[in-house]
Amino acid sequence: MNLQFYETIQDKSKKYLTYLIDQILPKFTIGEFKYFLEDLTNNPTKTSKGTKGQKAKSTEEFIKIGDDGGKFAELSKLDESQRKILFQIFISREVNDKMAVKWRFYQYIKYHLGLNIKTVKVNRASKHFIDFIIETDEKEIIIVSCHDILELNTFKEVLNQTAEFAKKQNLTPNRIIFSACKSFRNIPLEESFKIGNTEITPELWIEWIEENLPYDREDLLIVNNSELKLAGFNFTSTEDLLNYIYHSSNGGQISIFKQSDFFTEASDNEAEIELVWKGIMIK
Amino acid sequence: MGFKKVNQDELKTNGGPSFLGMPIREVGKIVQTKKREKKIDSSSLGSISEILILNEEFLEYQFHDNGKRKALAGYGNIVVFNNSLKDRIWDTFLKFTGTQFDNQDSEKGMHLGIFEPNSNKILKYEIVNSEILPDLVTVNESIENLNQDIKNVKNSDFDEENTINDNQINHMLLLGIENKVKFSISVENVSSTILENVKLKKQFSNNFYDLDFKGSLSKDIEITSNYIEYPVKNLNPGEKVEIILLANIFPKKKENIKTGRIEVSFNLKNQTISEVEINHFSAYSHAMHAIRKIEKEFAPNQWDCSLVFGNHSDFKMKLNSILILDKTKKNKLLELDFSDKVVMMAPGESYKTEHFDYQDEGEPTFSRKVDYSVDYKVEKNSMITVQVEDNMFKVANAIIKKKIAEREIKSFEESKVNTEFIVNNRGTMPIKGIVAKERIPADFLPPREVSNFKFLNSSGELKLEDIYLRISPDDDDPTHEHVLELNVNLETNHGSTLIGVDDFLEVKYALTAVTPNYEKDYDFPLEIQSYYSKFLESELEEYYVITNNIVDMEKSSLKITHKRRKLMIGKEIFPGRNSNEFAIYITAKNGSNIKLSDVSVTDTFPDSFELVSSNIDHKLSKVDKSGERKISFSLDILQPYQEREIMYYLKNIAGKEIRFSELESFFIG
Repeated sequence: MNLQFYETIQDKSKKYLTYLIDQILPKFTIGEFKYFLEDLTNNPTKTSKGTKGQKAKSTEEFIKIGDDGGKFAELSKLDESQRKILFQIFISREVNDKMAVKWRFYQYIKYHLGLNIKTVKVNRASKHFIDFIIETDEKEIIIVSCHDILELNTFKEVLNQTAEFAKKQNLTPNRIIFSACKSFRNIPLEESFKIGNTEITPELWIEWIEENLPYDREDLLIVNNSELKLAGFNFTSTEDLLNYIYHSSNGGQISIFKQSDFFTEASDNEAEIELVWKGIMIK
Repeated sequence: MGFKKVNQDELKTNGGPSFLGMPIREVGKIVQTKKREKKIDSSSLGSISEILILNEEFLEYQFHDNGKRKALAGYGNIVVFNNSLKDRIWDTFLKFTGTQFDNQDSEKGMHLGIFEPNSNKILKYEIVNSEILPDLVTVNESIENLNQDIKNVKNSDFDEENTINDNQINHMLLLGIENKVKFSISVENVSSTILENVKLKKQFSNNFYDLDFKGSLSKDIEITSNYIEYPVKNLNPGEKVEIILLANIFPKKKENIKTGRIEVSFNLKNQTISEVEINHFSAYSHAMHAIRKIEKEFAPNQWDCSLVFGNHSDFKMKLNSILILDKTKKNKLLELDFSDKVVMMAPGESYKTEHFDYQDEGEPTFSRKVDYSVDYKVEKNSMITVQVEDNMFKVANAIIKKKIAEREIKSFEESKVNTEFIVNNRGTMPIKGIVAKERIPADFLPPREVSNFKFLNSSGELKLEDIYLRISPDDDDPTHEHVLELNVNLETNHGSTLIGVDDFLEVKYALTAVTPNYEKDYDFPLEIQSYYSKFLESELEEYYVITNNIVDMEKSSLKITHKRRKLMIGKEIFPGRNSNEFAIYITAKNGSNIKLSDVSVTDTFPDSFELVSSNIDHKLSKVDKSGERKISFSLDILQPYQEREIMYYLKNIAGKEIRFSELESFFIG
């Protein structure tokens, strides 16, 4: 058995699926998970901010996310359809629509080493072209637009709408990131785009699945002497795995081992452990 | 949940399912990193992994069909593979040299950084100084049209080899008939190395059919409708492989047809064509080195020291040098240089230096420098393609027509027989010159001077100088046959052509019919040999000759008729309505097979009659002394066997005696 498709897993019991979903990393906080579930149903709850009867401004569509103090969401009370979609987005990754890309990207930036994130605002509107507005410690504003497949027309339209949005909100973005599952090759990544008085060169972040990964999604990854235990399905490349470990460990000499098929096969025999990577992480 | 920021180059060139559309191949770009696609040779644990540096070059030679090099382009990849599934390497340093680098920075070396397990980095270089690279093979193709109607004629001796090398050959097909063409192709290894996995591929255009390989067929020969591929395992230096291919073609249109390209591909194992050399590679991996310090049991403050170096990676590791200094870094305690005798350590192995003594009241500290590197292997490979341009088959077709102006002449009378023949070039190849041979039968004589011939083409009358006329036997005796041979534009060596494409040559001359006999049939068979230059824009006198015979086309013969005049004039008198009136009816009948012109008919009647009327114009004379009047009629033309009537009416003059007998008399003129 493997975790490639929801339909092909034999055990769809609540217990097993909840166990798997509980391994999704980084863990959702209560606030994050609330917005995620709202996005699933396209049904944002009314914000408590703003005066009664006043029309919501467009910036109010963007709500701060991930600032709720690290209290993790309770996943044991999910219904079957919620468990299914969580499995399909984060474990099997068989769902690759805009919503899936958006939340996988959000999970990714939580441990991305190049972004010193101060705040992240998520767009709660049902039809939107900007998904996140990230502010960094360096006071950079990063606009993120997520797509299942990035086409040239969409790319141009998003740039134009971002320019309008920035003008309306008196916002000066420093970077624009297009995140996508797939992209056409004709996206002009070297052409800069003017927003206000700032020239911005758009960035394309593709969901990267490394070929010949030294571990499988069904494997348990063990860092050093069980310092961390991670499910293989959380990481699509070695670099992705190393970034997460760097983010979540104390660094130093790191050895990563794998226990094959840990999440799909029960065995009474003593599990074999194989070395996947070893090296130094200096923090 | 990994994402990767991609740049424009990666977006355009990277393979993989993340990008939609065809990737563009880019050369000359530096350093591309990706996972190794090649099968891993060693497992990650328990066996030795290796660093492989693969220098591969891809070159494409292009040659003109005459064997001269047209272009050479290519690029090379230096791919550094980390084959280990668990160990990284770092501080990777590569140095290489070669004439292919305009920027000699490469000689200073390049730092390639960290290699993750089972990954590689690719360094691409373009081959820029291609003109200094030697040819590796010579490819020759000889094309022969086996059609028996094509003869080869060589007017002068010349070096066959120079002919092939320096002159472009005109390849010929005959229009409207099946041509069997033989392609002889040879590939010679002119390099000093063995060429491996040689594949010789000859392409054919769709016009060809019945492709065949002459020789013993093996299962490796691939014959399709438009190419034949012949594999050769190895070709040693100086060795030549020759193949003969046959193909049929039936040109239906007046258009050139491609001869078909030749492609030769082969590998050079452990060799690159350019002079790129990997001079140095070094990288670190997991190793441990420590100085073991043991205070001697019976000598306080005397320390027995040694350095231990352990290879903790799964690569072979090479120890280059060890230098141990005291803590002041001024005094060398141990210096080992392994450049003469390399110390190679397998995974897990350790190396221990000899002991050295050191005196220190406290625990001694040392400064040490250990120079080591993972071992590596260099492999070279070159994949060469040789493209030989194709040429064109031109199609040849000449239509010959002959006319004799006088289809019939009179027998036994000397007359001129105006003759002309036309050579019409309907092919795509100019006709260099012609040789016309006409058999002139006895009783006729050919013209004996070149000035008696007139030459015309689409531009009008030609003033040709290169004309030779030969009559055999060279006499004026009409009792025997003569052969007229006219040689036009072939004797003098010059590049001009006689009949261009879509043009014609018309030759006019007059034969003399001396004593033609109507009892004989005379034919004037004409043979035209059209000469086509075998070489393009060359003065070399080697030709394809195609012979057309006028007998096969349009029979030219002359009818000799025994032409003599035969005329009958009849006269008949009819009484008129009144007793004094008479109608005179004259018939003129041309009983011959020749046309009679200006026929004059004159009649007389007595002066006792006067003329009433006539059906054609007449002339009437006065009464002569004999008392008669002459009436004359003129007939312009009497066609062969035509009969015409002349009728006039007379009336007796009142009071005069009628002399009927005189009415009956007549004569013609």
